[in-house]
Amino acid sequence: MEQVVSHCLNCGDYPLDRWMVARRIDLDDEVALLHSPEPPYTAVSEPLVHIRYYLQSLESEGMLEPSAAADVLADLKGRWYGERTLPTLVTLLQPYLSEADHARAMQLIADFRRFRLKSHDLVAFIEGRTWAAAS
Amino acid sequence: MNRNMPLAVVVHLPAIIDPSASVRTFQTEGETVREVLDTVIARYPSSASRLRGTDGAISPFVALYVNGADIRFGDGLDSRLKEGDEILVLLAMAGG
Repeated sequence: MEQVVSHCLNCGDYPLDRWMVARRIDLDDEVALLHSPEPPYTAVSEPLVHIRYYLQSLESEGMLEPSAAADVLADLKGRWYGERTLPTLVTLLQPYLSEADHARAMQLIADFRRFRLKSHDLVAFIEGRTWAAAS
Repeated sequence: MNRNMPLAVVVHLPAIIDPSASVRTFQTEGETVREVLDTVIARYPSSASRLRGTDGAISPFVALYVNGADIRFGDGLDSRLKEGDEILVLLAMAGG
């Protein structure tokens, strides 16, 4: 069993792994959040790594300057993880976005699932059946 | 519609808010989320410390949804309610 767990933990080929390794992000604080204690475990706050991914998307679509993304991240990084909420993110982004870009940014936030790398990781882990390869 | 009639809404509470609560979904009245939250606290006084912080503001561990919409994206506790609205009170735990 120990061998299986060790293999699973070290295979390192999941979306969140790749994303964090590429950016040298390795802090527990990046993945912490508040969520409901019962299914569907609704997120009350958002892991910083998801917000990073979202901000990167805004950057790559030309809606947000890298310096603005860095400012927003720095603000959120300085807060307790329970305060890293999507409404707070909306407020922080407001001064940096044009009216048109703001509408698009809100569209993306309304369906935030695509930025939830942790969920993508879990799906990839289960679909990959890594434990089977190790046993 | 008679504007003086109180608005009836439905509240869903998580068990953890008050384990002694015999009914976790109940009907109450209120024109805003704040008023409904006050009725929840009046009904389950032990929930007050979980729902509100020391400053009286809503606790960061609590999220409120009206018909599935997070009130933090709208007017917060001042969000106005309509007859039949459903309010979900969610008490969060830490995870990672």
